[in-house]
Amino acid sequence: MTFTERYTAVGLVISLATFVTYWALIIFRAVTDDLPLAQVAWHGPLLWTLIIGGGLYGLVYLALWLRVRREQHTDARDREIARYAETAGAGITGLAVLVTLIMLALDAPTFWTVTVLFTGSFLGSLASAGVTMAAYREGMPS
Amino acid sequence: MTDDETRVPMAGDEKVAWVYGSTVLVTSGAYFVWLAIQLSTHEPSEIAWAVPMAIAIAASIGLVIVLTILASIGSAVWSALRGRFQEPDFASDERDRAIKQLGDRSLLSALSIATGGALILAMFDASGFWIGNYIFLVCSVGALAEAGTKIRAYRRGL
Repeated sequence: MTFTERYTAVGLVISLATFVTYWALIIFRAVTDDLPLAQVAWHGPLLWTLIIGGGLYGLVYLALWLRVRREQHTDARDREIARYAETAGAGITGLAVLVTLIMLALDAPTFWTVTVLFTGSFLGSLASAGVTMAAYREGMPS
Repeated sequence: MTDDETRVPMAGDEKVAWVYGSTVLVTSGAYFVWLAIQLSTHEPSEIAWAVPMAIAIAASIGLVIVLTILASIGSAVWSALRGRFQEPDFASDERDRAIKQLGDRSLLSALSIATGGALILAMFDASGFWIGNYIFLVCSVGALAEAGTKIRAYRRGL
């Protein structure tokens, strides 16, 4: 496995865990406090899952990078795959941002706006990580 | 025959990048000037920003399409008048694709800055006014960066 492939795989696992943890916390709170989803205190869970998930990802990236820092760890193929995969997720993230703008303009409840943005960017990163993994396993589509 | 003296027509995608960049500069610029004027006299909560922003976005899309068509026709007519008419080449080659990807990356980083920042703003209970305008500002700057990156790559090489 190359450096890029490794940190993409770890990032995929971490972002899945972050997303699931956030929703578990929100649903748990909604059930135990008997509140509708939109009235749950989502600020804390979102902040902490993002900080912990992002921090963990940063640490793993650093650890992986330290192992290969003396070598030539990224070649043209890695860069090509990264570029190709980034575009793959961009459509979904872009759509989420557009929907968010519309929801803000229509004064939709903040919880749902945040949910669209968070879920959309999660799906976008999922798509680009999936495309990266597929490109390493099966090669780039020509 | 091509030598260094022969004029090579501007690639179609470079023309589009010029049109795109200048259109966004004008439409988004006009919107933010309007917003600044409103902000100097009104409270943010009193400003109806949704419709003007929608107009700015729609105008960007519409103008880019119309102006791209006009620019293609215009440059074809112009070169024909000067006796240098060449069959317009609408196909994108390998270089066009590489440059497009490079430009997409600028827009992409703008997208992630917009998403991350908007989530943080929402966590601090910023109003829809600030979140919406923040997203629009970052995306406009990203679009300008995208057009700028592409034009630079066309002129100076990758």
